[in-house]
Amino acid sequence: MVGWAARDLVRNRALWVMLALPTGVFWTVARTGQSARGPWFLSSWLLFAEVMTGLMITSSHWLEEREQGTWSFLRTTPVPVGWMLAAQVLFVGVLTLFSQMGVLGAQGRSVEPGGVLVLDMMAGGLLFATLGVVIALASPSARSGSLVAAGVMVVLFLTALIAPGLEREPGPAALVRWMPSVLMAHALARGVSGSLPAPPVTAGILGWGLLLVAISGALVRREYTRGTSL
Amino acid sequence: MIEAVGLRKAYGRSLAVDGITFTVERGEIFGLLGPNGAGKTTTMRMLSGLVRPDAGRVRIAGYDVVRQRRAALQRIGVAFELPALYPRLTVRENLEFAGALRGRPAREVAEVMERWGLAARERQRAGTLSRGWKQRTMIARASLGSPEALFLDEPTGGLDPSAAAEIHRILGTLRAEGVTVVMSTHDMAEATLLCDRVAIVVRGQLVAVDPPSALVGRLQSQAVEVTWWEAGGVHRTALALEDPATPAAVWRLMTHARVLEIHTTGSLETVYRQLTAGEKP
Repeated sequence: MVGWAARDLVRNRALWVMLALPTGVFWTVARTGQSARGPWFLSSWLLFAEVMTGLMITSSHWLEEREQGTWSFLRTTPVPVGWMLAAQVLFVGVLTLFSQMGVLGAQGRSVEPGGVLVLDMMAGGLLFATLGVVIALASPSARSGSLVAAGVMVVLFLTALIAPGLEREPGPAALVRWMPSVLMAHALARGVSGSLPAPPVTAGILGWGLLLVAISGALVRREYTRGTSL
Repeated sequence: MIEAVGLRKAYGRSLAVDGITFTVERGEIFGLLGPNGAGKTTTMRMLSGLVRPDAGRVRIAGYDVVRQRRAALQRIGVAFELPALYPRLTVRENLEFAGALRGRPAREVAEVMERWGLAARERQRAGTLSRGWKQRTMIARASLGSPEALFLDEPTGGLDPSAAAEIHRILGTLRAEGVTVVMSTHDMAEATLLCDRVAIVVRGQLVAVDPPSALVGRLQSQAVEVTWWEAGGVHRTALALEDPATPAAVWRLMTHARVLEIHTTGSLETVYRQLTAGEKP
């Protein structure tokens, strides 16, 4: 199944833009100043690659599936819907890995196979790909779904950029640390230096992952029960 | 082969299907007819496992579509809304993907492509196909894996007569091989020609289930249809023969309007109009 999905995605020019954009932007930014050497700077661009490719590719792909009716076709095959969603999320998770490796490569870094950073990168890709599935399944139309996905992507990225300041603020502003993008940025910042994320960060990422999987399952069940589709 | 009992589905306060019950025998072509919004598509979606019924049950080859979903879905093929194909994949790749989802070998894809006359288009991307070829590819895809039942939503909708005739021919062959076909259509000529039995759905309820010829025989003779020209337009009405007011109504039309046609024998279309009178087309 992944083979055909890969062929379909590879022939999609928008995919190449989404894959190349984080690397291209980072390559440019990294050469403009010394701030490019800080771990948070690198982790925030790795995060951008995760969100850009993970969330946007998955949401646009599933919105297209629903709009064209291929989603209905898939649901009439004997393959369980959960397997199909998992295959897609895994595939996009691997794509986000390539996109993040491009960002690392733009700073002259390489990634150690099986290292902590690779696990962080993969976990982020899976998390945001699952978020893309949730947005696609919850959207009443392809156009509104695309708008929501783009808006969420920007919010997640910008929140992670300003998080270091907000986390020190008293009161509700500190809650920003529990945003999935901020958690992932923390994990990536530690991963860049070869360290495991702090236990609360790991727990937060796992919690978001489980929550998003549960929501996507509930949305699929709602569609089956209510009979709603794009 | 297919057993639908007491199917009911509501979307919010709107009752789409209200207690539909019927059976379809193996090797039968069964037509679902009805005005837009009558509940045909919802019925088809419940039969094929896309939507869960609020009440009632569907069995396909003895398997409950809700409780034994996987076993039931292994026995059906579905071709619903257009385009429903992957536009960036070729015709062959679309079929290979569907075959892989059903665990079918590649040679079966080649056989199906040959049977449906798709070999010449195998390398063409589905997004560039005409409506007719898309329709043909979708039905071919549905027939992959030798399903025992096919569910087709308006299989010849929007096709030219020769493309429609080709699909009729292949559906006839499938019927001869014992494949059960449930199809929705707005084309009464197609239903008369192809369907062993038709069900007419109005406001979510079945109002008739019979072979087309039996429906015509049972209902057609009970009405007289008059077509006349008046006030710059053509008008048509079907009047019940049993109604004592009918002779006077016909006489009034004949004396006060320009009657173009009057007859008591006709087609499934006339029966359909009688049964769906008052509904929007």
